[in-house]
Amino acid sequence: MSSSDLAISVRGVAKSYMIAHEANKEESNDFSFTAAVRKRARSGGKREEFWALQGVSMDVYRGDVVGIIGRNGAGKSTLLKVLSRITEPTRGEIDVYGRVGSLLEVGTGMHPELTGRENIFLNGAILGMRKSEIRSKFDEIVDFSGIERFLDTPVKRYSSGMYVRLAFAVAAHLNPEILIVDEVLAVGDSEFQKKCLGKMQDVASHGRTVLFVSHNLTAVQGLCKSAVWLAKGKVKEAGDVGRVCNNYLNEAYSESAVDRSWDDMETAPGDASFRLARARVSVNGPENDVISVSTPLYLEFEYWNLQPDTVLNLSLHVYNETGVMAFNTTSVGEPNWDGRAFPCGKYRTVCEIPAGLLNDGTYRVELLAVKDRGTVVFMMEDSLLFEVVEDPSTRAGWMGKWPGVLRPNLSWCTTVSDGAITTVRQA
Amino acid sequence: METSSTATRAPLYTIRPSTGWSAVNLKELLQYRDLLFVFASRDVKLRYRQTLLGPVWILLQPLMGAGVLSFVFGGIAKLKAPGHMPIFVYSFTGMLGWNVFSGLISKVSVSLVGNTHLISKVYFPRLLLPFSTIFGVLIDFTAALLIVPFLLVAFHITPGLPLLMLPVWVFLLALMGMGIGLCASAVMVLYRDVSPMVSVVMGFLPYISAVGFDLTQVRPEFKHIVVYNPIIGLLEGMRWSLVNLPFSGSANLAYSVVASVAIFFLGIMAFKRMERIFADVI
Repeated sequence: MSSSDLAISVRGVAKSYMIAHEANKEESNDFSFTAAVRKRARSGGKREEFWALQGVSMDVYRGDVVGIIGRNGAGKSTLLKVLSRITEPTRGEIDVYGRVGSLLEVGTGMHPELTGRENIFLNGAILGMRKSEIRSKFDEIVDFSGIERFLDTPVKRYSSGMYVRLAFAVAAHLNPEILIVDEVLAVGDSEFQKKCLGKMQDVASHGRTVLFVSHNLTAVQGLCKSAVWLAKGKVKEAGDVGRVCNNYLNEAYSESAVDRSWDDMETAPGDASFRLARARVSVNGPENDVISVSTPLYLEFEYWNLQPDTVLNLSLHVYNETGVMAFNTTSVGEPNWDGRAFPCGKYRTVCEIPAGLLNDGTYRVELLAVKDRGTVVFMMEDSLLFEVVEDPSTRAGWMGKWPGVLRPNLSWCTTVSDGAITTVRQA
Repeated sequence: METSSTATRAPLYTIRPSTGWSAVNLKELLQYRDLLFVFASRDVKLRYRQTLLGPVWILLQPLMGAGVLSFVFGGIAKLKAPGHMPIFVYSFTGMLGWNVFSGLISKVSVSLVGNTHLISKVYFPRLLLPFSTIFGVLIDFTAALLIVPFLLVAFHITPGLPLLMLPVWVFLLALMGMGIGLCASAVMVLYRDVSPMVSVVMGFLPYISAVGFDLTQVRPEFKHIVVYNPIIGLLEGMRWSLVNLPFSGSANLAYSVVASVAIFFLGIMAFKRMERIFADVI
């Protein structure tokens, strides 16, 4: 394609942040003023440069619908912020060939004390619409939102659904040549997500350029023709959406903290009473098999008990990528060792998570070892980190992010309870 | 379809790291003027939501402020306003000008940290936020100004031609307030310490700015310090225009004018210098 079809041209963009290091844990228990000042003064010298983006280059052409994927912290949001001019790049240049509208969230700047009507103008102007533009689309926006009756009510009295509908109605009437969307799909109910995806498909089919950042690979694959995979602030791969997403998934699995081991008992995490030797997630199958929503998985822990005659239990806190604890499970009731005193030695405990329980997404496992039913002797916040991927056969055509913390496979049953009525009515 | 010309289109704009002192992009500010008014009307509308008296506060505030000042300085401290001016009229006209200055400082200084959410989520020229506070301050000023004719009639004062100079004083006070506010707002993004500092200074500054009493009565050893306060000259200008009170001679008018313009541009420069890191540290 010739350069006359360019929409965005990114050349060597890098972005660094200064991050301050936390002082030692012992020190931070001291909340006195002098300690605070001392800490300030010291951490002033301990600031470290962190490169969120390290030389990203890419060309986006007019009419392209590009998905930007990558793990948390890969630089996706930073790239969007630089593209939307919220923050400046530290190095590099970006040529932008057209009016950009960016939706990094829905309802930016909406004010709870103002009415729906006032917020339409406020939010529209903040998103970059001219007043005349908002006025000419006002009726459409109100229709689309379906909140006509509450137009003159302060939005603080709205239900959260109404609030999101209003916000989205404004955003949907933004008419930029280049649309930048970040994770907007992560909020709202499935109805809203469907609307959102539909609107983006609409924008894309009108030949406008869309840049779409999402964790939701299903949506990315459904909407985008091409994808850019960011890893550690660099473009790892760009091109056809199917290929990039596949490679990403394979890699995401092997890069997660799915198997960690500590061979030396002296330096392994823990203390004089308990040390962790190994934490591992596995599936029943080939070594590098992917964990999907329809495979059972095993959380396996090996550890040394160093205090004789302790009653030990493991407790797992499983969090999803938004930080919500999906569930807590303990080894209480485990058939072999539960309630018995553990002699010193090395032990292995496995927890099976059945197929069809977890939703797709990234999960983090916090491991706790509990002594005598009540005292936490060991805790590791990120003992395991693994990704559960989609199994397209379970989706029944639904393309949005599958809502919910879990996606349990429950049994359903439909029977005809009175077949006669329908027959009568048809007659 | 596009014509098949291979001529490269010029980009609409290029994003690149800014270096050193950057200029204000007036053209862009003008393009975003709708948003300026939207911010302004948002703030004005929000101010009196869920109040009983609503906009009446615009009138009550300066009246009560001047009342307190004249009670303290006239009633308790027994200070006299110059030229046999009633102390209430003296205080009220002082408050009028002072409120433009201090109102801007207090609103502008928090205009960035009060809109953290916007700054980290959407692009617009950041100067719109501080600039949009002008409208609210000017509305307050205009409302309070409506009281002045009643005072003039009540106290038999006739302003003359100097009245025509009134906008100049307001403009200069606004420049100075905006300049200081811009500096404060930019630094406040990094250090919230600025907020208590501003309120301490703004609580103390009226006493050395001839708001409620005339500084010719100040002890001679302080006089040479007081002349460096550029606000005095502008407040005296306000009184000259509104109630025909001559300049006291304790302030240098030319100095006040130069200082307000200089402070404004310093404020703009500081703001533009810090602007690039707002979203990263706010």
